[in-house]
Amino acid sequence: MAHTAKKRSGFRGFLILAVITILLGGYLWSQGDLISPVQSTTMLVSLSSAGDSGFAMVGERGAPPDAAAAATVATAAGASNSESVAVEAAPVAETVTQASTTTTLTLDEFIAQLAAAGVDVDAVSATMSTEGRSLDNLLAVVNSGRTTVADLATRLSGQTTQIDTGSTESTEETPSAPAEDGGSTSLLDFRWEELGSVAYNLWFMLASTIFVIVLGRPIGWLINRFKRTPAANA
Amino acid sequence: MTATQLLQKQTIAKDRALSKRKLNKVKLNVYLDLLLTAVFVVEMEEHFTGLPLHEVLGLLFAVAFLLHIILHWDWVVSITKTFFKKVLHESRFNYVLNVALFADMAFVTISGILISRTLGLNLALGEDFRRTLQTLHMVGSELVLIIVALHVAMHWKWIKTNGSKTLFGWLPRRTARNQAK
Repeated sequence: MAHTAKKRSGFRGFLILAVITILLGGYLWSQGDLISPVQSTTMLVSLSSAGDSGFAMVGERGAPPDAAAAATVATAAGASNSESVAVEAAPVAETVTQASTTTTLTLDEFIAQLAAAGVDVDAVSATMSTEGRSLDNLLAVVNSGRTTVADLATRLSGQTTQIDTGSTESTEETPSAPAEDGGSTSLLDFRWEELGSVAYNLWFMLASTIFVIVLGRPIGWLINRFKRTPAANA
Repeated sequence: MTATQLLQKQTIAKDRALSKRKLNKVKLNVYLDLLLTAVFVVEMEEHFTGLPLHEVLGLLFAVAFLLHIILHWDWVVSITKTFFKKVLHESRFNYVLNVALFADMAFVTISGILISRTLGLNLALGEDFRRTLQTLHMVGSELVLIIVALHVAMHWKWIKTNGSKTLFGWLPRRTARNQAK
């Protein structure tokens, strides 16, 4: 009798857990925060450093763009050799723009595309490393969608499209306040729009629990059977 | 009062003290585990906290994690001693899982300290090495999430029983209410 009551209580607990997991999962799904571990790992592999503001998951919805890195573009552009800009930079840059709007670049692809656009990558990298940054930071800006490789290439090589039209270089891509993009150094500076990711971690634990409970039954049964078989044979 | 009665009284008092201490240890475990879970899910999302808090929370988590192991040290010792006596047992799977979790957590913590930017260590690491360590730190922490999720799942019975006792123990029990009716 007590055993049945305990069993019933366990089942009720499982049902509550399942309902909470499904509801939370549904909510996260509607918010676009429910991503598969495979997808998340893929993003992690192509992740970038985001300066003092920390890491930035490439391609993640709502990921903070790398403002600090964007701000260094202007500095790096000054250091790059403007004579190294190839004549065919513009067509290459156009191709790059199309590619970069649809895919997430890896560092190698990014370097290759910058080099193809005529940017002296080594010089840019050297300048950035003196500031404690790397090309990863620039890649984060590109992958966050704030700018394109083409735009970056033209700015890095000192040949902006604005020069052709007679205007000065636009600074709208380089916000001056790092706090705007989460680069603040204050200790309690939460980005509440990222709360969904925190909820996702919690949801993942609950979902794993359900998975283990469901999977545990047949496995337990198999192990018991395996244990009994030699005893029965003996 | 006879000597036997005195002995019985002493035994009962000892048992009560022991059970109270045990209960307190369970309570401590429940609260510590709750803290660990809360810090862990927040700590995992560096986007949410920002880098300075992420690094401070990481250190806090490492301390709490060590405390968690110390509180379960008896279990660690007993399973280590008898690991091969009963290989096909749930506790053995738990043990392997926990060793993996410890190793991964240690790696993530140490790599996190090495690549730290706001703790004031400023270690002179090569750019390539730092980048590699950063990637491994991230991948390692994703793996930690998976192992922790399995760890929670494997201890679900304990969490359900002791969590409800500790956190909702003040609520009147349904069975008690039924009996009262």
